[in-house]
Amino acid sequence: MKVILAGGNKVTFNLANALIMRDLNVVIINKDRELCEIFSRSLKATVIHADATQPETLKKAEIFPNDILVALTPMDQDNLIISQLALKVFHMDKVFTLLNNPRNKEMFTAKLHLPHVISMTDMLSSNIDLSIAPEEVRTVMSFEEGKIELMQIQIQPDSPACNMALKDIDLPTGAIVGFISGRQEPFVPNGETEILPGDLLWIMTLPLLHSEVVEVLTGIKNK
Amino acid sequence: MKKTAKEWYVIIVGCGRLGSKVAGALSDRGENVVIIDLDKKNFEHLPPQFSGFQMEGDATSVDTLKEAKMEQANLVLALTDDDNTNFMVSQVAKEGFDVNLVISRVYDPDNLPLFEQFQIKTISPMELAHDALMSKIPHSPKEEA
Amino acid sequence: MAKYLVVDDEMNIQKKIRATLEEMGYEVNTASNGQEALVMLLAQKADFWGMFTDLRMPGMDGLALLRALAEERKSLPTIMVSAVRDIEPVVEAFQLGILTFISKPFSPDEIKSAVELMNQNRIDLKETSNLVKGLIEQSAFPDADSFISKLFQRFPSSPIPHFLMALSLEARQNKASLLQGQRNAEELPLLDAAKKHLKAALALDEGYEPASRKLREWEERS
Repeated sequence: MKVILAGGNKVTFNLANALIMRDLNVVIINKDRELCEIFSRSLKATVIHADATQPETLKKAEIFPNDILVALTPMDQDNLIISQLALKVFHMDKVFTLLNNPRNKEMFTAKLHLPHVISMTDMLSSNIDLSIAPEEVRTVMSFEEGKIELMQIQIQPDSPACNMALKDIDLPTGAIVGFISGRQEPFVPNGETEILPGDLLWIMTLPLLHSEVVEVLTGIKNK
Repeated sequence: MKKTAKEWYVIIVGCGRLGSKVAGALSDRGENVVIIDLDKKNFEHLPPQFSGFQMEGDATSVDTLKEAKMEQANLVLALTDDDNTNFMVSQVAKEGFDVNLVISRVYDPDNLPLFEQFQIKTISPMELAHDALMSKIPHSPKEEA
Repeated sequence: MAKYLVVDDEMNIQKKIRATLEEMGYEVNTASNGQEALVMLLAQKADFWGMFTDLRMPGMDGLALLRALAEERKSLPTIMVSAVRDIEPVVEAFQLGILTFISKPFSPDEIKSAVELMNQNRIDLKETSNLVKGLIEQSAFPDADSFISKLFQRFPSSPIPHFLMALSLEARQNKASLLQGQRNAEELPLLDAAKKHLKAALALDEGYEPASRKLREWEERS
């Protein structure tokens, strides 16, 4: 599974970085030659110099339905066509569309049915979480230039970690549950704390452990 | 009081050579025409007798289309020189504003399938030129075997 | 025949609105800016049923026109037609009394609806006079007076608003005198004011019978 970032510049760089740190497979498509050169020099990602609004380009990128696509150009009309191509022609469902003009929000979400419409502010703080269960998992913040990630995971009844003591849950070393909220008062758990459905876990982790933490606490695999 | 037949409410996006010509033709015919362009200088392309409305604005912002009262339009023509802009205008017209007839110019033939998927009627300059050209080329005499 | 005024600096817009109004059977006059319109509206024989005006025009714009009319204590049903770009001028226009606002681009149907709205708001002199008389009889003076002041604005050269004002003042005087138990000829201030209005009515139209009759009636009594 790979993440395709179509268009954009600074925003693309930051997002690519964050995703690469999470050990995800990133493909960047951009029609600006200079940007492409900068990206390929400084990022561990596949860079394709092409116009993502053309069907040929997406074909060249070898997109599969299970991949994730993020349309990041500064023009809403370009992001729209990239997203619709991805959804209708390449049969993807994990498509994220950057909305530059907030006035287009209702049209994009309610009328044109784009599954995930993100605003510029979400983008700037790399605050989007591209995991498959966006309602349960949220990346709240990155610290130290993305070297530490703060996540928030809500425990569902069907979570594999449900009703287990924290010490018995197979969280990787490098991830720690700092707080649990959702009960009376937020509190700092210890090894004996039993994780209950409805608990909101605040986890600090290394970005590259993100997917593993999600899998252990929600059962959902990202790869 | 004589009752006249109801005229169409037509919105044309893009006042280039094609847009301005069609705008003139439709307004001469008596339709209620609104033409939108990013740059008001392009309205100079319009014929002098054009009796419709000229709106300077960005058609990729839904606000502009609301201002143009697109929900009242019977016909929307997306005639800018950018396929992506035409696609957005067309899709928004069809799905967002329920316009009956939406026609878009599409320069790159590779983009045609996507427009068709959304039932947006298209005119493709390349295909039209191809058809017109082929019709001007007579058949060569073939040797009867 | 019923007449409307269309004020807009764009010939196209003038033509469009005029076409729809003429199709509906109305007579149409046009002006290209506020100044021209003001002259036409303040003319002696001006009797427009209503007005369509643009907001932005060179020279005197739509708001300035409305303000000028207000200063001359003249008003008529008004529809503002303009591109929607800022909210503030529109709010002020509503404060100055426009009936509604049509944004460009518009369809003939929108113009037709606007005309219907204006017709509903037309104050009919005769009907309103009867209404006012009824209100005076019931001693509903605040209501009666508010209708009378509207009539003053709409029909400044008619004797009727003055006459009605006189009736209202007379009725109020009678009521006051009853309460105070006085009928002293010198202490009837409202009646004096009423007399002045009757005289004003006759000054506007010396043949106005109701006013001359009333005046005679009061003079005979005192």
